[in-house]
Amino acid sequence: MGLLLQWRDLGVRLRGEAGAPPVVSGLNLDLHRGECVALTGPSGSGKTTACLAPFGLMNGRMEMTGVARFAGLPAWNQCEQTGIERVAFVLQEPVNNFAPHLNIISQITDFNAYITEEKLRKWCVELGLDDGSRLLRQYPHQCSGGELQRLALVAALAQEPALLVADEPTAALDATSRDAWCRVVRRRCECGLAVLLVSHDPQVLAAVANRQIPVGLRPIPLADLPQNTVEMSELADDVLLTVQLQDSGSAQLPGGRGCLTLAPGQNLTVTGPSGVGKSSLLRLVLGLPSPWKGQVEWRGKGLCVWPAPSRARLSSVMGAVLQDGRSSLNPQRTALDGVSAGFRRRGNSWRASRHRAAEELAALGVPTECWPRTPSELSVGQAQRVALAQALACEPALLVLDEPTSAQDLGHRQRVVDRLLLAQRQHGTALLVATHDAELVVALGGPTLPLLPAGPTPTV
Amino acid sequence: MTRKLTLFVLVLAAVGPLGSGGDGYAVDWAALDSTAGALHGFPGNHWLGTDELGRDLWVRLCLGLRGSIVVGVLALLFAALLGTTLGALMGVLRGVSGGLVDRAVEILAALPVTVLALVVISTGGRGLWPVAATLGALGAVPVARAVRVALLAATSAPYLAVARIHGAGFWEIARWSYAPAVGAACGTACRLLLPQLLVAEGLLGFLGLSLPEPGMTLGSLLAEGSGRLSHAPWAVATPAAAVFLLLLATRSRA
Repeated sequence: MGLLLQWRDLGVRLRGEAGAPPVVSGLNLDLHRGECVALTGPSGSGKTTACLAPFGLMNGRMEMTGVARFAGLPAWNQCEQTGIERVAFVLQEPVNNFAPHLNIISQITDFNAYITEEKLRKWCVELGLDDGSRLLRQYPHQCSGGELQRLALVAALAQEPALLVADEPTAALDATSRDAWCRVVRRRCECGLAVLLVSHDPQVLAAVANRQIPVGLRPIPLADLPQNTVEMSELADDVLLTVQLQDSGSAQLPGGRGCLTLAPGQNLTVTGPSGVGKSSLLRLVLGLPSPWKGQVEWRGKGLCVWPAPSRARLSSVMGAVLQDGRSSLNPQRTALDGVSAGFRRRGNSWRASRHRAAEELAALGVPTECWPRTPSELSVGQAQRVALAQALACEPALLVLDEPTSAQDLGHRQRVVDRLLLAQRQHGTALLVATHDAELVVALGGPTLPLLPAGPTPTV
Repeated sequence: MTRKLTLFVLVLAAVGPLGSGGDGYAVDWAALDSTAGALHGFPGNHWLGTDELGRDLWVRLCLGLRGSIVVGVLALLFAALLGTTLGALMGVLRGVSGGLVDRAVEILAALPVTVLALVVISTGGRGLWPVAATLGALGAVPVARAVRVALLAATSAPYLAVARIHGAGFWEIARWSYAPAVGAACGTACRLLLPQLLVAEGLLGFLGLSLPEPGMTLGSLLAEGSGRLSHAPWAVATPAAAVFLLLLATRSRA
């Protein structure tokens, strides 16, 4: 009875791509109760597809081959809950775990009406989410990415599953909450929960996984970065961006300042615990709906007092990648098309735009067969890099990036950092980056802006 | 299945009348004179018999089917055009002008079809275009609502904000964000609308408000046949069956 999930020669391919290699092929797995197995591999190697496709969660173009059995039955009908054993999922992009129109607790009790709120609150506390009384009543859009990701684990555990499929479940978490996450899952495993984990984070893998299965042995080639020798002339010593904060929610800037400035070509990394308002600050700068209020000045000119109807003037001087890379991409446009549109806007010919977009995508390690795919057919990591390529295509004076490497493996993260620093050398691009990733902060250099929650700091 | 049925109905409307003569007003004096003549069905060269004026009922049935399809499709095109325009205005306009368009659509939605048709006929005359325009104006309401919602959803999508920040102009956004959303919404609404328009057309035809003579639709045939229900029930049953087939052929697949 110990064997819960079994794959034999599992493969997935996309219909209508005859020549292209399959997304996943030849996977074998035996997952027993109380065991945690991690799938590892570079971004775009098909880890997510391998986790979800056997349970019938796949795009209409996908086709599965091989055998996948869950608790002795074919795995695909588990989503209809025919068996007693349940599978719970923590999906890759935190937002996708919840329906947008219901508050968190009603979605959890939909799945399991017998779960008590005290129990949920206890789990929230274990995961480092204060006592959960506020969070559980909130709607998904009111929670930060990291909070949603932990609530997704609470929701999954509330279903009392036999198997937990967790896809990059700690990508939006800071170090403290990541360790709490690992502790909770480890303890569950000791009680018999089987976990199928996908993660790029070596610390999570070391803390939780019993063993690792490599997916996608085919190496994904990284093209050379375009080594343009044109260096920037010295940067004008002025102020690019000033933000005067009027209302910053429950967060405060270090030293109680209400103002931050950014010079051309400067890096500023925004850090802070999950839920403190890093994304809110970035959205304020971009002129998107944000709970923060303030005045944003661009090169000394007041551009926008939030809320403002539009800020078309600012266009083409900023590039943006939102927290979930895929949400920055038009679902109708293929990767190559979306990136070349940026070059087109800058007055390049159609052919030259396609050529430069192809170079840009290759430089960021997006494989050739992915170029004619739409965002839903890309892996989350690939979509994030396509979104970055799309932003870089505008040759912006300021790049605003929200967790730009959350879905990247180590190799691709290094490539993203190299590309960003190259853009900085070539075009004097200023970077405003929000991240949890301490190594990214170090790699980018430049000052950091640690955001702190106002009021007494919570005891850990 | 639905596709084959649709093809069958279209072929019937196109070539069915050729089966015996093709003229819905040709009078067969012989059929009138014979004892087995009018309204007795299946005599020789009249598949469904003739009416009391000696006109072939099969030919009239197929011509009525053709009339219903022409009016319905024309009304649908009109509804799609008007509905998309109104929906786009509702999605874009704010303030007083937006409120005016919203109210106009609500008023349109509140009008009963027969009253509107009577007003149009009494002021603008009869014929294919006024009938199609009346039905189309009423059908525009659900299309406009669907297009408005799709447009609002597309406008608030995060990738649209990112595209704007990256400097995408109006036409690029229209091509890649608005057009797919509006097209999909309009298409769905129209598929649901077509059977409703055909039923409404049948109602108008039954009341004699649809195509004027010599045009005919299934509704007007039903009205004609209803007088002979006691001695020639197939004169009602066949147009009714044709309406049923037409609705079955145009229903949207779930």
